[in-house]
Amino acid sequence: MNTRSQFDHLFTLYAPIAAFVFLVVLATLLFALVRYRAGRGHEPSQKTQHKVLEPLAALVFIGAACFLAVNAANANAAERNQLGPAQLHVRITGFQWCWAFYYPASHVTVRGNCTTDTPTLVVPTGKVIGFSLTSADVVHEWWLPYARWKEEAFPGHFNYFKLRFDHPGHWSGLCDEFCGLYHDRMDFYVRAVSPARFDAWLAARAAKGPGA
Amino acid sequence: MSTTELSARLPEKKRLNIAEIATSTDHKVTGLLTLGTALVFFAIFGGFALTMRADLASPAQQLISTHLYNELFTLHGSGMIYLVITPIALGLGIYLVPLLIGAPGLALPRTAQLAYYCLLGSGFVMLSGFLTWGGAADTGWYSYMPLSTSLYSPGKGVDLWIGAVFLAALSGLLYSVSIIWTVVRMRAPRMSMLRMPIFVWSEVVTAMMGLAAFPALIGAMVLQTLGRVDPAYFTHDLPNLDYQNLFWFYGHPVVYIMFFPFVGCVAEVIQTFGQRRYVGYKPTVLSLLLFAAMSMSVWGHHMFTTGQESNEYFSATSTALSVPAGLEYFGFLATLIGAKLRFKTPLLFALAFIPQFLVGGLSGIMLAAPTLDYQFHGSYFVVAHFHYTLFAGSVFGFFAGFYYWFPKATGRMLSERLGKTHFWLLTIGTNVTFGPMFAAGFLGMSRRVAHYPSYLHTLNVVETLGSAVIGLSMLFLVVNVGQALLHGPPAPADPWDGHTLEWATTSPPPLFNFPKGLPPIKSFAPLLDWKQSLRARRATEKPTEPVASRPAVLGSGARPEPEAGT
Repeated sequence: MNTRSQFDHLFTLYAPIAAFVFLVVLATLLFALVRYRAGRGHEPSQKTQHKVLEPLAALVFIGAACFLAVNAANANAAERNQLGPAQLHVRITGFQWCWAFYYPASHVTVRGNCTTDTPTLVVPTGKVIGFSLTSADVVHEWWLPYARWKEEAFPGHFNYFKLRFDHPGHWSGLCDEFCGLYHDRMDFYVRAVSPARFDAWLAARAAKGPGA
Repeated sequence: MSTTELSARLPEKKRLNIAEIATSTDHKVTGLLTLGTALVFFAIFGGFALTMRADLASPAQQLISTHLYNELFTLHGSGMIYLVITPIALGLGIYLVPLLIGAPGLALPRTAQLAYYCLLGSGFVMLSGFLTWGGAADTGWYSYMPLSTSLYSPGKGVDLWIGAVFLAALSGLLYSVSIIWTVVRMRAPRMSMLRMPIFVWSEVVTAMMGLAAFPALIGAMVLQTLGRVDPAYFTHDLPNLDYQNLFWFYGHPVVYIMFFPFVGCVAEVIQTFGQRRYVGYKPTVLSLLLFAAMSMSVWGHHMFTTGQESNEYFSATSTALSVPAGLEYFGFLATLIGAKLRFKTPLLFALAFIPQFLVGGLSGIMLAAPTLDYQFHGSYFVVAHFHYTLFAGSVFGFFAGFYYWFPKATGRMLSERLGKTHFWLLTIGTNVTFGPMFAAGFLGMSRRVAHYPSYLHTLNVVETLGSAVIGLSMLFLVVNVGQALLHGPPAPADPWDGHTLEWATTSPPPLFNFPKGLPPIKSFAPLLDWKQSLRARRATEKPTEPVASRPAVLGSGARPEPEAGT
C-alpha cells in the first residue's frame, strides 16, 4: 500500500523524536522541581542569560526543523509521485449522504444510500488505480484509515490521486469533513481482490446494465 | 505617608452601581467585564462539551438527537474560540497591560469599551440561534462553504452565527488596537520597549497578529453572507476554496492569539514564584516576534487534504515554528533551573502548562507533515492536539494567571487548599479526557460524529469519565471564588513578592492605578530592582535604621519616589 508505507516510514521517524523531546523536557522539569524547591533553603541564581547555551540551542532547533521539513517533503513527494501510470480509473462522487463509485471503462456504477446499503468499492490488488474525486453538493472527504489516506471532495472540481493495494482485504472507510445532518452515516467499504476475481466481478456488474 | 497606607485592608463596602460599571472607561472595569463575561461563556460552552461527551459514552446512544449534537459541537467550538479564549487572551491585556507598564489607563478606553459590547452582543446573537425554528448553527466552527449557504442550511441559525462572528471579529480587532496603542502611547517614563515585562510583550505580539487576522475573518464572513443571498455562486470550486484560504488566514494566527498571552502568564508566574529574574528575556521577546511573523505563512497546513494547496511549502513553514517555540521552552526551563520555587497554586498551573502544551506542540509538528496529516486530518487525533494546546495549554496558563492576579484584581485572597484541589482534579481530568483521543483518532475516529464504530467504545468511555472530572474540578473553582469574594482574607498590595509594577499599588488598584507614583524603572522587573536596592541600603544603614519601619508594600517604610512626569 503506497500511502500506508510512506505514513509508517514517517511516523516511525517522528514518534521517537517526539517521545525523546517530551521525556527530556519532562526530566529537566522534574529535576528542577526537586532540586530547586524553596524548602532546600538555597539562594536563587542571579543569572539572567545563557550566552553560549541559548544560541547553541537555537542552532539545534533550526537543524532539527530542517531535518524534519526535508523528510516531510520527501515523503509527500514520494507519496504523490512514486506510482506509474494508472491501470484502472475509478471516479468517486460524494453526495449528501453517501458515495458512488464509477468505473468509466465498463460503465459500472456502485452507489449506496448509507442507511440500508453501504457501498463497496471493489479494486484489484497489485494494480495502480487512478482515482478522481468529486462532490455532487457540499465538501466531503474520502477517508480510508487502513490506507492512511484521505482527500477532500469539492463540488465542481476533481481531485486526482493514485493508490495501489498490495494485499486482498476488506476495510471500512468514512466521510471526514462535516457535511450536514447525516454526515456520520457516510461509511463505505473497500474490498481488494485478485485481478482475476476483479475482472469477473466487473464483467458481472457490467452485464447487469448501467442501472444496476 | 504612613506605612499602613498600602498594606492589606478590606475594600470599602460599596454598593455595586450597574450604570457606573456599564459606562466606566477605566481599563480595570473593561478588563474585568471582559474576563467575567468570557468565563460565563466558558461555563455555557463547556457545558455543551460535557453534554456531547455524555452522549458519546455509548456508540449509538441517543441522549440527544444528531441535530442537537451538531448544534452543540458547532457552538462549543465557535463559542470557545470567538467568545472565550480570544476574549480572555485580549481581556487580560486590557486589565494588565496598563498596570504592568505603569500607565494610568488605556490609550483608547472607549474603543476597548466598544470591543466589550461587541463581544457581549456576539454571545447573545450566537446563542439566540437556539430560539429559532431550525435551531442554532450546525455547520461547525469554521463552517465550510457551500454547506453553510442558504441552499444546504436554510435555517436562521447560520445567519445569526454569521452576525455573531462579525461582531466577535470586530471585538477582537478593537481590543487589539487598544492594546497596541496603549503600549505605544502610555508607557511610563523610562519604561522602554525592552523593559516591558514578558507578559506585555506577549500581548503586543498577540495584538499585532490580531490586526492582521481579524480583518481576514471579516472578509470570510462577507463570503458567508454572499452564500446566504446567492448560494449559486458557490456551486463551483473556486469560491469554496477561497473561503477556506481566507478563513485559515485568520484561523492560524488566531491559535497563537489564543496562546501567547498565556505564555506571558506562565513566564511571569515562573519568575515570581521562582524568586528570580526571567532567564533569556531578549531571546524570548525575539522568539515571540518571530513566531508572530511566521504565523502568517502557515495557514495552508489546515488544507493539506484539499489537494489544492502547496503542501510542501506550508509543511516547511509550519515545521519551522518549532524554532521559536523551542526558544520559549528554553526560557521556561532555564528560569526554573536555579530558581527557588514556592509551590503556590499559580505555579502549579504554570508548571503543568509546560509538559501539557508540549504534547500539543509535538503532535502539531506531526500534523505539519502532510503524509501524517493525510491520516490525522479531521480525526480525533486533531481534536486531541488542539485540546492539548488550547485546554491543557492555554486554559492552564490562564488559571496560572487567574490565581496569580486574582488578589490584585479583587483585593481578596483565594484559598490555597481549594485552589490545589482544583489543580489536581483538572490535571487528572484533562489528561484522561484528551490523552485517549490521540489513540481514537489514530484508529479511525472522525471528529463531529454522534455515532462511532463499537471498537472505539472503551476509549470513549474513558474520555467521558475524564470530562466528568474536569466538570467536577470547576466546582472547586466556583466555590473558591465565591468564598473569597464574600469573606476571603484581604489581599495585601504585594502578596507574592512580585517583580512588576502592578504589585506597587493597592489591591485592587485605585482609579488611575498609581496615585503614589512609581518605583524607578531600570529593567523588566522594576519592583524587584527597587526591593533589592532597599535591601542593600538597609544592610548598610542597619545600625541607624529603626526596626519599626517595616515594609508595607515595597519592602521598606519608604514610599517609592515618583518619577518626573507621572
